[in-house]
Amino acid sequence: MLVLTRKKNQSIIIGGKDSPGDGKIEVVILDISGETVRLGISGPREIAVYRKELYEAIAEENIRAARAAGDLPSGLDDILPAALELPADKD
Amino acid sequence: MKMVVSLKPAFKSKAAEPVEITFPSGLVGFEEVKRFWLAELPGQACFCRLAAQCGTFSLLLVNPFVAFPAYELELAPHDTAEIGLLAPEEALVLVTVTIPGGNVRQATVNLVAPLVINVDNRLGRQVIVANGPYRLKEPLFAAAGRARCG
Repeated sequence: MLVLTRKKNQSIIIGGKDSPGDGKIEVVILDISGETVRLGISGPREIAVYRKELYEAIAEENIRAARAAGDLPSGLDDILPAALELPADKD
Repeated sequence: MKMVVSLKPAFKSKAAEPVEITFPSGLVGFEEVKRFWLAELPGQACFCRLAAQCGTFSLLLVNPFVAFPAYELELAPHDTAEIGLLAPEEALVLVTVTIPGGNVRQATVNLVAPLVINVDNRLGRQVIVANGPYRLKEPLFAAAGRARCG
């Protein structure tokens, strides 16, 4: 892991080529208060930025939702359509 | 481009055959799995099953707008660009269903990370709705009791 020391209002540049706006991501230290650091992130619109905790929580929920390939929970046929008041198949 | 997707009709495919869907970035936590089959569940218009083509796992999915008519998500450029989505009408939105301990009555849906599928090119992406009012574990039945499908 690369470790850099930065002060308030200083920033780092990640990636990109020479010309401005060409894939660069800039992370600026906006504010430091006790153990909290506020970051400003700017970069290409196609790059997604998330808090890691949220990403991990979603991964955990996906794993909980995943089931064996052929497995459907028993009772699904009875309970879910009834609760949703599904119409009978028509066409 | 910002794109807002809201109330959508249920999955309209009449084909009984599973549809091949590619997730270029995989799903969160399953990034290496890109190719899936999407199949309707027989007789259950709101539900379908997304099965990894490698056969390792599958997910039960539901159309969120059925149980949560006010559900709305805003797609960011990084979401629409990856799946080539040009208009909200091309988007099929589905959310995962988690059934804790096999107790169907306790089923929850993940409204924070819906799967958005471009029905034209069959590319999909798990979108993260980071700043919305939605929850990772929203009870399906509390809402479903009030909802209708179709």
